[in-house]
Amino acid sequence: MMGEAFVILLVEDEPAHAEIVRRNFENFRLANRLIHVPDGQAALDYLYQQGDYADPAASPRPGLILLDLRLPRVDGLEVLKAIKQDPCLAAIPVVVLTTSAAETDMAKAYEFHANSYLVKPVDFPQFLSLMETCGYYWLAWNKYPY
Amino acid sequence: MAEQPGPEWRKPIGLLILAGFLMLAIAGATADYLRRQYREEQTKIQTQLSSVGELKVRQIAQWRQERIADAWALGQNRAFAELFQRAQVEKDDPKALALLQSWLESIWHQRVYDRIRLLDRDGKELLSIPAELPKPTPAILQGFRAAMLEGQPRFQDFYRSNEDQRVYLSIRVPVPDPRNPQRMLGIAALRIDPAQEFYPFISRWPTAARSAETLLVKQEGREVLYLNQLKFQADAALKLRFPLDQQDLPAAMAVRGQVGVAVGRDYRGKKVLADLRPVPDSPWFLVSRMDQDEAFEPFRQQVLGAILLAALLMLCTGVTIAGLWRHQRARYFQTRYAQEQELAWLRQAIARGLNEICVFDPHTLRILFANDGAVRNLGYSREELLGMTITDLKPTQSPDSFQGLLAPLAAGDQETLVIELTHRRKDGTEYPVETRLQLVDRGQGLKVGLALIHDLTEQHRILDTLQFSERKFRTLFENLAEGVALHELVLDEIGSPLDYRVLDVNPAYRRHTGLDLDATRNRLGSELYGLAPPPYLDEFTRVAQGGLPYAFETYYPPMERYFRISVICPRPGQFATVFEDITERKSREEELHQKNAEMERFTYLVSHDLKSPLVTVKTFLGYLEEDLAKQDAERVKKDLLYMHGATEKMSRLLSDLLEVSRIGRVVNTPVQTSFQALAKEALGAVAGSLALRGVEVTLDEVDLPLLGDRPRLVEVWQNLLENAVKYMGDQPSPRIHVGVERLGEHPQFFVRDNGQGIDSRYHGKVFGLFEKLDARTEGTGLGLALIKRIVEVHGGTIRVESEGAGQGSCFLFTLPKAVQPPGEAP
Repeated sequence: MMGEAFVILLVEDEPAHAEIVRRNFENFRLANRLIHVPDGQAALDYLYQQGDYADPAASPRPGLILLDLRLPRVDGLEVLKAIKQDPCLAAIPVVVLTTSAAETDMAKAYEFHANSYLVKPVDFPQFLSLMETCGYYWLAWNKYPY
Repeated sequence: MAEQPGPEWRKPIGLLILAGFLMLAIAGATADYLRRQYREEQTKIQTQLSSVGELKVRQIAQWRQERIADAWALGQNRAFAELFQRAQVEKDDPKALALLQSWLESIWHQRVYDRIRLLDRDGKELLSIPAELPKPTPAILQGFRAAMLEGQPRFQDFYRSNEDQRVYLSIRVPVPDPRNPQRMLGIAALRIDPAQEFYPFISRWPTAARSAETLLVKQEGREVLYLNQLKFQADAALKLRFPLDQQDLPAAMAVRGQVGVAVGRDYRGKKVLADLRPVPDSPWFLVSRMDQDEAFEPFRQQVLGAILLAALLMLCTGVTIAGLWRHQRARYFQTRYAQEQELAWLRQAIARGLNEICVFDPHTLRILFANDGAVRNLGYSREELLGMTITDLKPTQSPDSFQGLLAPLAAGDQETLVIELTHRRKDGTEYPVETRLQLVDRGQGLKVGLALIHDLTEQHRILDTLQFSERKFRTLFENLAEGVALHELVLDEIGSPLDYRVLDVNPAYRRHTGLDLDATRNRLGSELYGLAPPPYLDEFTRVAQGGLPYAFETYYPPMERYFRISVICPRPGQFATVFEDITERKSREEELHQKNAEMERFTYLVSHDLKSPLVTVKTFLGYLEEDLAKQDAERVKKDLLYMHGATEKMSRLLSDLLEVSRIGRVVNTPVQTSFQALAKEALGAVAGSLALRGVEVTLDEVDLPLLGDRPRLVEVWQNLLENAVKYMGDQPSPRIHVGVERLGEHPQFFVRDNGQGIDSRYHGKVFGLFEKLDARTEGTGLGLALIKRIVEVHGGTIRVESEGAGQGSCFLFTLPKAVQPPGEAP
C-alpha cells in the first residue's frame, strides 16, 4: 500500500467544504489521493463502480470515507447504512464529517456503525488541527489488514 | 306488659319410664331366678325324701323278713322241736332244758329280742329269757293259742303291753311235734322292744335335718294309727291316731294309697313335705317327712339374698334417676333464673329506655304505664301521665279517631300498626314521632295497648339535609357538561365480570352519545354499544372492585371521537363514568404535535444549513490571511469566490426562511379568481426564463373559478414552472403543459414537463425542506417545500409523477378549499 497513494473518498455536497478538505490533504505529508463526490447517490455509484464511475481504474476502492450527512438525492445516513450492510464495503472506515452537532444525528450515525463522528469547527485553526489529526490518525496510526 | 313466663318445668317422663323399666327388669330377673331356684330346690328335696323313703322301706321290709326268717328257722328246726319235746315230756330233764336254754340265749344275745318265752301247749312256761318273767296275760295266752292253732309262725304287730304300758312287737313260733307235725308241742314267743333298735333305726335320718322324721303308720278301722315314737310328740306310738279322711294329713294319704312325694299338714298341723309309700308284705306305711319350712330354708335364704340384691339394685337405680332428675331440675331452675335475670334487665331497659313506651287501656285510652323516656320527652311527671289518656299527647288525634286507628288491631286484622304522628309536650311544643301500636294480651282475655314511640326530629333533620344534598347532586348531575353514567357490574356464576348494566345517565351523556334515556337505562353495555364484551370492561371492573378512581383517554372508533373517561366506584360492584368529548382538543393536540415536529426539523435544518456557509466563510477567511501573506493572488481570488458564494447562499436561505414562516401565518384576504388568471400570471412571471430556455408552454383552455390567497396561489404555479425550467436538463425541445382535470372528488391541477425527470426513489423527498436532488443546482431546496405548504393551507395535497430520469415529470395537486362548489360562484 505504500507503493500507491492512500485513497480517500470525500462525500460532500458543499464545494467550499470539499475545497477545504482537499487543501488539507493536498499538503499532507503522507501520500494520498482524495476523490470528491457531490452527493449520496454519487458516493454509492462510486463504491459500486456504476453509473459515472463504471471504470474500475478511475474509481479505486477507498481506504477511508469522509461522509457528510446532509446530502442531495441519497442522504448521508442512508449511504452509511448501505456501506455497513454490505459485507464487501463494511470494513472501510467511515468518518462522518458534518456541520451537524445534533444528538439524533450522532446517535443514528453510530447506530449505523460509523467509525468516527467529527463536527466541522467554525474556527479556522481548529478546522486545520482537526484535519491534520484526522489525517494522521487514519493514514498513519491506524492499521489496516490490507 | 305481660311478663313472658319461662317454659314450665316438665317432669322428665323419659327418666320415669327408664326407672320403671329398670325396676321391672330387676324384679323380673329376680323372680325368674327365684322360680328356677325354687324348682331346683323342690326337686332336690323330693329326691332326698324319696330316696330316704325308699331306703327305709327296703330296710324295714328286710328287717321284717329277717324276723320271719328267724321264726321259721326256729319253728322248722327239728332239733329244737325234739329238745322241746324232751324238756316237756321228760320232766325235769335238766339237760334238754339247759340245751334249750342255751339255744334261746344264743338268739337272745343277738339283742333283737328282749324276751323269749317257751310255753307248752297248755300255756305253762317251760323257760324264759330272762328268767323269772311275769306270767303272760290271758290275752297273750289267747294269742299263743291262736298261733298254735294256725301252726305257723306269726308276726304280732305293735301292741301295748299291759305290764309296763310299752309298745312291743312279737313273733310267735309254734313248735310242732317232730313225730306229728300237725300237732303243736308248744310255742316260742320272741318279743321285740322296738324302742331298743327298731325305733332308733326308723327315726335315723341320713342327713342333718332338724325336722326330718320317718313315721310308720297303719290303718286301724277308719283311722290312721301311728306306730312309732315321734320326734315332736312323746309317747305317740299306738296312741296317736287321726281320722282316715283327714285330707291333707300325709299319713292318711299314705294309708289311702297315695305313693310319692306329697305336701300336707302333719300331726302338729305344720306344713310338711312327705314321701309316702307302703312297706311291702306288711300293713305298714312309711311316711318320710320334713317340715316345709326347713326344706325350703336354704331357698328362703336365697330368696332373701336375691330380694336384698334386687332391692339394692333398685335403690341404686332410683338414686341415679333421682340424681338425674335433680340435675335436670337444677338446670331448669338455673336457666329459669338466668331468664328471669335477663327479663329483669329487659324490664329495666324498657322502663329506663329513652324511647317513649306507653301502655294504655285500649277502651278508655288511659295511660297505664309510661317509661322514663316518655317522662323525659314529654315533660310531664309520671303521675301526671298516668292521669292522662294517650290522645292527650297527640294533638292531631281525637279519642274517636284514635280508636278508629286501633280498629284493625282490635279486629285482629293486623298485628302492629306504624303511624307517623305528632306529640305535644307539656310546654306545648310539638315534635314528629313514629308510633308503633300493638295490642298485647295481658292474660285473662284482657288486652292492653302498647305504644312504642320514636322521636323523628333528628331523622327529619337528617332527611332534610339528605334531600338538600340529593337535590344539590342531582342538579350537578343534570347540568354537568360531562356525560355521567352510573353502571353496575354483571357477574357470571363464578363471579367473573361478564358485562355491565346502565343504571342512570345524565342529559350530557345523552347529548354526547346521542342515545336516548330509555334506550340506555337498564340496558347491558354489550347491547348498548354492540360489543361483547362491552367497551373497557376490564378497566371498569378494576375500579368497581378495587375502588381506586381511574381516568384514561381513549379513541372510540364507532363514534370516531376521543373521550376522556374518569371512573369512580360509588359502592362495590358499581361504577360511575364521567366522560368528556376531547376530540377537538385531541385534534388540536395532534396539530400542535405535528407543528412541533416540523418546527424541530425546521430549526435543525436551519441551524445546519446556516452553519455550513458560516464554516465556509470562516475557514476561507483563514486561508485568505495565509494566501495574502504568501502573496498568492490566484488562491486569494479563489478564497474570495468561495466566501462570496457562501454569503450569497446565506442571504438566499434567510429570505426563503422568511417566506416559509409567512405561509400560514400571514394570510392575504381570500379573493375571487380563477385557474386561468392564476396560471397566466405565473407564466408571465417566469416568461423570461421560459424564453431563454426556449420552452414551449401549453395552457389548457378550461377554466375553474377559485377563491383564495391569490399571491400564494400564483406562487404555486410560478415555483412549479421555475422548477420545470431548472430541471429541464438537456432536452432539445422542452415543453411544459399546465392544466386541470376533473378526476375523483376534487379537480386536480398539474404542471407537466419533458425535462430530466425524477427518480422514483426521490418522489417523497423532493417536497422536504432544504432538500435538493442536485448539489450543483441553485436554490436552497425550499421551493417545493413552500408549494407543499401553500397547497396544504388550501386543504390540498401534492405529488409528483415521473417515469424516471430523462422521462420528464408531472406535479399534480388539489386545492379543495379554493375550489368553490359548482353553483356557488357569484
